Amino acid sequence: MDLTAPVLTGYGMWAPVAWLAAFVAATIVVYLLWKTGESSYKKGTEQGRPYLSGNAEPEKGAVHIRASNLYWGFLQALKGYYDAIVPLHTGILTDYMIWFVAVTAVLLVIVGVLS
Amino acid sequence: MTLADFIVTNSPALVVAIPLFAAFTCPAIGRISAVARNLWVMGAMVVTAAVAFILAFRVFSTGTVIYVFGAAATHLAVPLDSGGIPIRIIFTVDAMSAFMEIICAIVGTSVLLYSLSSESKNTSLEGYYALFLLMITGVFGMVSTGDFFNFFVFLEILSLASAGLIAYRIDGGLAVEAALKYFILSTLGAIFVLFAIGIYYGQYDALNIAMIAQRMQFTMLDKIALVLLVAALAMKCGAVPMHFWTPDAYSMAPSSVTAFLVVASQASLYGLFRVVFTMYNITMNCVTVGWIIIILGVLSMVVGVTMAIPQKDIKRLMAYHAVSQTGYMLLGVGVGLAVLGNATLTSAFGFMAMEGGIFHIFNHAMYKGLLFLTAGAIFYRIGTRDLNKMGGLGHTMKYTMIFFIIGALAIAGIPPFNGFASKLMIYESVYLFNPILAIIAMVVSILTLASFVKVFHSVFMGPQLPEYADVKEAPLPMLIGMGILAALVILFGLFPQPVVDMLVSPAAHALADQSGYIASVLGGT
Amino acid sequence: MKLTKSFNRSLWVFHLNSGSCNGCEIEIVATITPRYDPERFGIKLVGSPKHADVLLVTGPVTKKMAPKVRRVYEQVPDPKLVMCIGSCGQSGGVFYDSYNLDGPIDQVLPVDVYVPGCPPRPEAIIYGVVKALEKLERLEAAQ
Repeated sequence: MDLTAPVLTGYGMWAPVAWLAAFVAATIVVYLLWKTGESSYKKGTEQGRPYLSGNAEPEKGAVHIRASNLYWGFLQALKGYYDAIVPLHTGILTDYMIWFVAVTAVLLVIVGVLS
Repeated sequence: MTLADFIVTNSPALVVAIPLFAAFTCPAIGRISAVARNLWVMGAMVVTAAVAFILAFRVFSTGTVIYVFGAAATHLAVPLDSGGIPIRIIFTVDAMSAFMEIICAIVGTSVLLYSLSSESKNTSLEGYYALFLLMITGVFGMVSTGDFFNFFVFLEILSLASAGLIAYRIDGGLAVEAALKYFILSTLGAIFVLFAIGIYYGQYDALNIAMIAQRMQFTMLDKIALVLLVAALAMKCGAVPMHFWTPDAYSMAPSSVTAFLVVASQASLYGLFRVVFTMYNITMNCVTVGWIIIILGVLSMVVGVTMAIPQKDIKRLMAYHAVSQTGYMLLGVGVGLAVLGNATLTSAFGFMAMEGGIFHIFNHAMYKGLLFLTAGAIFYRIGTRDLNKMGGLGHTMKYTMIFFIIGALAIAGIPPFNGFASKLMIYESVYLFNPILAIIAMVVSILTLASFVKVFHSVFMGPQLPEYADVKEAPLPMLIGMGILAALVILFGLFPQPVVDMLVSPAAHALADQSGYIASVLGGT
Repeated sequence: MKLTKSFNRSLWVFHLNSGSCNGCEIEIVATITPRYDPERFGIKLVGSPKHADVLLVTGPVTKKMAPKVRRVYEQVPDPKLVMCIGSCGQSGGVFYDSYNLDGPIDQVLPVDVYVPGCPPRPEAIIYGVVKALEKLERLEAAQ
């Protein structure tokens, strides 16, 4: 059995081992480029701290961006969609059952009557 | 007969019998000591997994295995005096069943190992382990059985045990509420299934799947039964718009249970595929039913992932992703079903789409189980599931972070992890069927990555927060449980073709080949 | 101080305003226009002191800005040069002897090149840069 055989997808193929070899080669090139850089910065001084327009670094807890602040723009851009879809998730068992039974009824019409 | 022969011959019965026996003796053993109980359940799980692997090996090397309960020999499906009807309960383990059993064995073992440590602080663990082993019994039974009423029985065992475990961490009644929702919806679904079974029994005088398949006429009653089964089983596997119970149940259950609930959902998915491929196959209108499954799949993918992005509870977010990933399986297999009657299209891309969908079942069970276990490890250490309260855990929980990265990249379909292999198979074969569907699938993958970047950033990145300064790495058994799944995610990502050849392709063939399934049960007459 | 090859081929400049009236800033911007085009010699303005070789300080260093000037100077990686642009940085200029000054700049940072003027013309700034390069060459020759 050939362990490294590529997966044929009917359209193209996917050979992870070859991909990994390319990835490792690229990583080595990147490492070599990185090695040519200067390592003159001094650890533990201001050179290791972030540049915040010259201001002092705030408390550790204050600079972490919490989950709710991420993807605000995405949610705002799709506001119409989210305003429609989120209220459907009511958390009420009766609604869940109505959806279930309604889907069953729709499928019955499609399969039983239309086809 | 030696012990080895006995185990090999009776392996289909043993995979159900061992966890069932261990489950009901667990409370008694628990009276002795906690260590004895842990050894007992872990031993039972390991033995069950070993037997499942023996059975799967037998199936993949020699073909479908049937096991007839109470017959003189295990392969005598049809008694001579029964008028050609297989009246006994029969387990029919074909390649698809064996495939599902391998998933259940792997995830069950790693999750149980994880529970030994994650649940160790809780009370009434006898009940926990008993119900957990009952879930394992239910999944093994559902995927092995060749008898439709028996399928219903195992479905109910699984639902009851799952509901009990979802409510296990009472959590001021929230978990109980989630369990109640799950329980009532499951019961409604089970009633649908039972009603469909009644229709088959009334028409064809048979409960055996192969027998029903052979006599299938596709009358109006059969259409009703088909719809009831598709709706009930799609609801159980969490397809949109019947997915509402999944975030509730998945987020309130203990993480180890959630990881196994993924497998339980996939057992229902297996049931759905078994119904449409083995019982109906080309007697029904494959295009209509195929498109119904495709549309359910696309809805699940899109709604699942878009609902995941704004979530603030880490497990609720992952539960919506589970809904979304189930959509991929439904899409792949639905495309395979839609072109089932057309031999040219099937060989061109339909079969590849089915293989992609089935391979995704395996991959999903591994990486989603892994992600839920990492979420559990975080909850175990910091005691909250609220993403807004987390941050900087990567400084202390390094291994958990690495496992989370592996799982997150795999679910987003980033090479070289296993999610990419199966998703690529789905994309490219579905593209030949309908390009728009493939594009939707890719966009959903991108959104999945976006959503997991959010989780990764808000949980692990950032400076070490003062409130979590003394958080430690998760305990060793939990890391081992996660490590097993992570290793499989990488292994299957690097070497997908042997897995496709050995497991996935036979499973897809077994699913599509209705006459082979019928012949393996009724061929002897 | 060890100099590297890349250092004398391109000087990247970070501009810091320590309380200037913006006259010098306008001239610095004029210096980097296509008319003079110092970028053909590899001289350009960068957005972070961590990328810079030269710190370009304008203004007389007010009390509020002094700690920030010191922090930014420390954040520039070694080896580094400091250029003082304008009269304010040399003597305080019109703000000479003000209650609100910590400067002039040489009270706060070690300055390598002074460019006088209120504000200095772009030609003067370029001449200052040439002086800075000459100083670097001297340092290199001394090694």
